[in-house]
Parts: sequence; C-alpha cells; structure tokens
Amino acid sequence: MKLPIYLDYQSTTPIDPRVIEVISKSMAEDYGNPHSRTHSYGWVAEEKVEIARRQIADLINADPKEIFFTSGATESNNIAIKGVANFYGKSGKNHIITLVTEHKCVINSARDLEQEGFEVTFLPVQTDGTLDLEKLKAAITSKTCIVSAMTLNNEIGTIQPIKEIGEICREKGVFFHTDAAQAFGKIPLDVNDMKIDLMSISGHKIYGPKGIGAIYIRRKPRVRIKSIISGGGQERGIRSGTIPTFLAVGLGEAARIAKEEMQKDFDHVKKLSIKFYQSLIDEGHIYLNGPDIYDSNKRYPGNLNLLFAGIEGESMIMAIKDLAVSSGSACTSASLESSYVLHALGVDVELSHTSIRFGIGRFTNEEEVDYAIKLVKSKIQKLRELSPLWEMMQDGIDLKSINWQSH
Amino acid sequence: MSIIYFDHNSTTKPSTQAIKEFVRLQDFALNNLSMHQLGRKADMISEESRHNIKNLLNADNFEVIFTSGASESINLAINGVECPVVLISKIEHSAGFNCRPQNKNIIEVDVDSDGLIDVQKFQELINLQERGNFLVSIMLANNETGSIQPIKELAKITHQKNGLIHCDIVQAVGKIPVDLEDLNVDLVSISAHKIGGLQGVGALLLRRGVNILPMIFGGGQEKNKRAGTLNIAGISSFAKALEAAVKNLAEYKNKTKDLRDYLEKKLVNVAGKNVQIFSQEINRLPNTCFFATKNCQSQTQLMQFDLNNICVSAGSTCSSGTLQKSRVLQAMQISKDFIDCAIRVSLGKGNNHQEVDKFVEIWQKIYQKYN
Repeated sequence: MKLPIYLDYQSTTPIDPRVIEVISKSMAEDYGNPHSRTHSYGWVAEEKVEIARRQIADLINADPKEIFFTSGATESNNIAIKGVANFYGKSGKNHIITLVTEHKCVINSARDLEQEGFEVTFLPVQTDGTLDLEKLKAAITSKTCIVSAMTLNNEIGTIQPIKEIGEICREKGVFFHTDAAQAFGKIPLDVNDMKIDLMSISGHKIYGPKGIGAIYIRRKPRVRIKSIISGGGQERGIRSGTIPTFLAVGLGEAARIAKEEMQKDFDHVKKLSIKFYQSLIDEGHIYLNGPDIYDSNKRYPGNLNLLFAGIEGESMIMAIKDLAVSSGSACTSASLESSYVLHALGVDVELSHTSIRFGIGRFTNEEEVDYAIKLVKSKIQKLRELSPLWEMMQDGIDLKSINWQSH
Repeated sequence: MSIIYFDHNSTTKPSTQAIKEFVRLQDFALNNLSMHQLGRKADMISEESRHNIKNLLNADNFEVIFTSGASESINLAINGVECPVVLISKIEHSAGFNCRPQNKNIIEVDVDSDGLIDVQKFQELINLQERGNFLVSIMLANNETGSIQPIKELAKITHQKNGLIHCDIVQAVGKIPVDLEDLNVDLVSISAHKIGGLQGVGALLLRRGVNILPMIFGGGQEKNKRAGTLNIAGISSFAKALEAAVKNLAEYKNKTKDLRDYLEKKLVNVAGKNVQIFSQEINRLPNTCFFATKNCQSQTQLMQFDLNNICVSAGSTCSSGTLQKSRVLQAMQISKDFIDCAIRVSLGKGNNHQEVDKFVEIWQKIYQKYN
C-alpha cells in the first residue's frame, strides 16, 4: 500500500491513467495551435478540441457550442458571475444572489462586484447546507440578474435542489449559474431538465488535468457575458488565449470516462464511505457535517466531513500523517481560519475547529479505508486524553462559557 | 510525406524535458494549498519553479504570478495596474491591443516603417503625460516581424516621468537573451508554450513594489493576485523548458539565423526587388521572416503550402476563422498590395535546409504564376 493514503478528493484528484495516456499522446502529436486556420497542424488540433468539447457537452446534455474552455473552475466562476453582472448591470439589473456556503471564488467575485456598486444577497442555508427555496423566492427582485448556487458543496458534500432552483429562476426570468466543480462527472446533471443557464466545470476534480476547466453558457434563451480576458477572440470572444489542446483533450477524456462509469464510481465511493462512517461513529462524539450519509439525493457520499469533539483538526491531521486529508477546503485550510461553511450550518466555533474532511474517490480501495479507520480510531482516544477541551467537556463545562484569550 | 513546420511563433513543440516533467508529476495529486505532505510537495515544486524562472531571466527583484498563459498575463497587467492612462504600441499582441478597460484612457503608440518605436517621438508623448499616472505596454520582440524594440531606453524615459512599463517578452524568450534587470521594466508577460513548455501556463512578473488588482478572484492563491488551483505539473515543466531554452540560446540563434538568412537569400534570388522583407534592416529575432510579394493573396499561398504539407501563417494566429490583414503591417504603413500577400515563416531549431528548399520551391511556383 502506498503511503500517504490520499483522502482529499475534494481538493484535487489523482489523474486517471487513461487520461494521462491521451494527454501524453496529444502532447507529442497535437502541438499545433488549434486557432491556426492556415495549416493542417492547426486543423488537427482544432478537431481534437472539438471532440473534447462534445464529450463535455454530452455529460450535461448541452450543445457543444455552449461549452467554452477556461483555465479552470475558478476562472469559470469569475466569468459567470462578473461576466453576467457586468453585461446586464448596465441596464439596471444590478442585484446578485448567492449562498453563504459558496466557494471562495464565487463569494469574492460577488464581493468585488459589491465594491463596484452591485447589490449582493448572500442567502443563508439550513443546518444540512441546503437552500430554503422560499428564501430564494423572496430574495429575487426585478433587479436580480443572476442567482449562483453550488451544485455540490466542496466542504460538506451537500447537493442543492438544483432543479427546483432552476425552475424558480426561469419562472422569475433570472439567470441561474451553478458551480459544478465538485458535481460534474460525479452525479447526473442535465442543463435542460435542471434549467441551468451557466455552469462551471473543473478538470482536476474529475481525474483530469489541472489548468483546464470549462464553462457552459446557454444559447437559448441566450445568456450574454462581458469577457474577462480579451485578446485574440478565441472561444468566440468569451475567453481569449490559446486553448491548450492536450489539456482540453484530457478534460474530454475525463468527461467521457465519468459518463461511462458514473454509477460504478458512485456505488464504489458510497460503499467505502459508509463503511468508514459506520466504523468511526461508534467512538462517540463524532458528528457528520451536512446531510445524512444515506441520503444520496442530498449528499454526495464521497465527502465525509466529520467533527471530532475535543480534538483540534490540526492535531488530528498531524497524528494521522499517513492519510492525506484536509480540515476543510484547501483554499482556507492553509490559513487556519475556521470554516465559514461550517459556521453557516450553525456549527459552534469551538466545534468547527475539530473538523476533518475525508474525501473518498475512484481510486480509493477497501484496504486503504481499513487502514485509515484503524489509524484514526487509534488516535481518537489518545488525542482526547491529551485534550484539555475534552477533559472540560467530560466535566460538564460548557465550552461556550470559556473566555478565550486571543494571542 | 512529413510535415514541414514553419510556424514556431504560433506555438512550438513541447520539449522532451517538459513532457517528461509533466507526466512525472501526474503521479501525485498536487494542490499547493493542501495541508498534508502532498500539499507541501506541490508548494515546494511551485516555489522552486518560481525561483528558477527568476534566476533564468535575471529577475531577482520580481515576484512571479503564475497564470493560464500570456493572454491572461497581459490582460492582468493592463487591467491590474491602477492608473487612468495606458500607452500601448500599435503592434502589440491582440491580448494587449484589444484589452480596453472601460475606466482607462488608451493611447496608441505609433511605429515607423520598420516596426520600431521612435524613441524621440516616444519621449515627446511621455512628456505630455501626467507624472506617475500612466502605464506603458510595449513588447520586446514582435510576433509577426520579429522586430526588437529599444525597451531599455523606453523604460528609462517612462521612469523619468514615474510611469510603469509592461513588457511582453513572449516571443523574445528563448530566441534572444533576456535580462529583466537590464531592461529595467516593471511588469513582464511570458508564455510557456512558445519556448518548449506546454500550453496553458504563463506568468506575469512584477517588480517588487509594483501592485496590481486581481482579475480572477477566489481562494487567495498567488498572493491574492490570481486565484485558481495551480497547474503544478505545467508550472514545473515551464521552468524546465525555460532552463533548456536559455541554455541553448547560442545554438538556437546560430541555427535559426543561418536558416532564415538562407531562406531570405533564396527569396531575393527568385524575386529580386519584388520581394519585401519586413523589418529586415533592424534588429530582429533570428528565426522570423515576414515577407510579401504583390499579386498573390496570402490565403491562396497558404492553401498551396498546406496542400504541400507546409505550415506557415500570414501573421499572428487569429481565431475568428477569417484571415485578417496584419495589424502590425498596417501600423508600419506598408502598402495594401503587400499586406494582402504577406507570409510569415517562423523557424525552429529542428528545421533544416532541405525544408527551406522545399518551401522556396513551392513558393516560387506560386510567385511565378502570378508575377
């Protein structure tokens, strides 16, 4: 068994060997600039890019013409929110709605627009992380141009009622964007059935390469955007810059595999995840953040965000070095600030510091999960013995009553 | 029949080192912000790449912001510097030339018939600017003609009036020596895939003390200047490619210049004074030959070349699907008869004399048919 065991599939995924194969081949062969219209090298590259575009479109029931390549989901999210806002803002549609639990790139894009004079509503979520649809209905005004809600949350695995949100937005004449970085390729998505107008897609979250992503932009009814990167006018003006052929091909292949093996992947992940969860939960005072693990409509099982009462997340991470895990999203974990997503669920500040996210994916195997269970179990008792917080909890002291000294 | 690739300024084949490095790093799931050991490994690789890139460009006083490529870098520079005025040369890459932030006044800077910025006129233009309130954007070497600008002098003039200067070195790197300390510029855009790295990676270098506003917001990567998970494998192979390119500069120059001169001699032998080679009289990239003879549209020629498995272009790679007339040649006030017929050959160090012979043979047939 290779150590460390990788259990951080929400942060990034190992690339699928089949994807590496097509990438390697493409790097060596398709080095033409896909935008070169004047020679066959360019044409061959362009053809491959178009095949990839179709593979991506097929996964979400879109038209290939509605798929645009970007450098990744962060850029796609920026394009969607700022692009729509900046285009329609001119005509007075200057209100944006999003959720408090969105990825930082959505929140910070919205914040940036707020500084430019846009009005932003950050909707709260319920304790399982889902959006209260009545709140959404109430928040939409005649000035709202876009609603942005993540399909599948990166930290807590919550799946939003996307179809319902799409219906509300369509009915009210508001564009609906969803950040599907974690969901694309993992759960079934259909832009028509779900009435999605814009969707952000990532390569490296679905066993594809980094440095590439895509954005779906609906043609009918047409969504218009103001681009962020201008220049040669590639991607029909949505996003300038040479498309990296080999990365596009890699993302296409990753999408193809995901489409074919989605159910298999899902069952595999769910089985291991439930085993992991059931084995740990017996230790006591361990809580799962987000929806019920058995409710596949609401939760993606590959995400196990657990609270270990009395154990600081960082101490746990240090203690289980053989496991590559994270205490939350990669973007915030490096800064050690506690998770704004957990706070949004109503998790206490003290308890939110005890969270660990175990991410299980396509290449996780049973042996690894058994090893991880054994390792985590062996540390829980030890870490709690060392923990003054745990001792206080056992003595019945309410942690909230403690006046923490900042330092 | 094998393909003759003469379009290296558009994109060039990734080096073996770059491909190897990219594939090697695919064994790991690397996100530099992860807390576990793979995160630290990712961070170490990106920092080492940053360090190497700075060393190779003599850019110790710069910070390296990784981007998705030069188009993004150039946009980030022009959008990101907080100032009301941008002076941009008429021969800039479209990533810069078409970047027109609404809140900025864009002033286009002329070039002469060789494609050079006139230093005297530039000085006069700068004199008109408000002190410390403007950004200049001029490329070191042009992608179409290969013309090399007197950046060092332009930077000096810019700085005398406390302006900032952004320099697109995309085409220059790996073809001529580039020393950022010596050029004394403030912001620098660079691309990986033009120097044997892979597509999808580039960087914006910022002189210490120069600040920019981000364009892509998110998880705080790249010191809040450019969000998005780092393409670690792409970045590392970029550094490796740059290292190889810098190391092989002398060999590159000798080989491509020799071939280019050989080609141009042959063109003149066939067409004499009817052939116009742009920017030939000035300091230009060793691998680039942009030329035209009247009476034969670029499009017609390109089709003939393509039928004969030769990849060339009519100027910069454009994306709209229609062949646009070279904006660079228009800025140089070349007559329309020539602009319509221009062909750019951009060589790589893997090209050889036989390929040039073949190219000239095909071209001669076309030329003679129309002249």
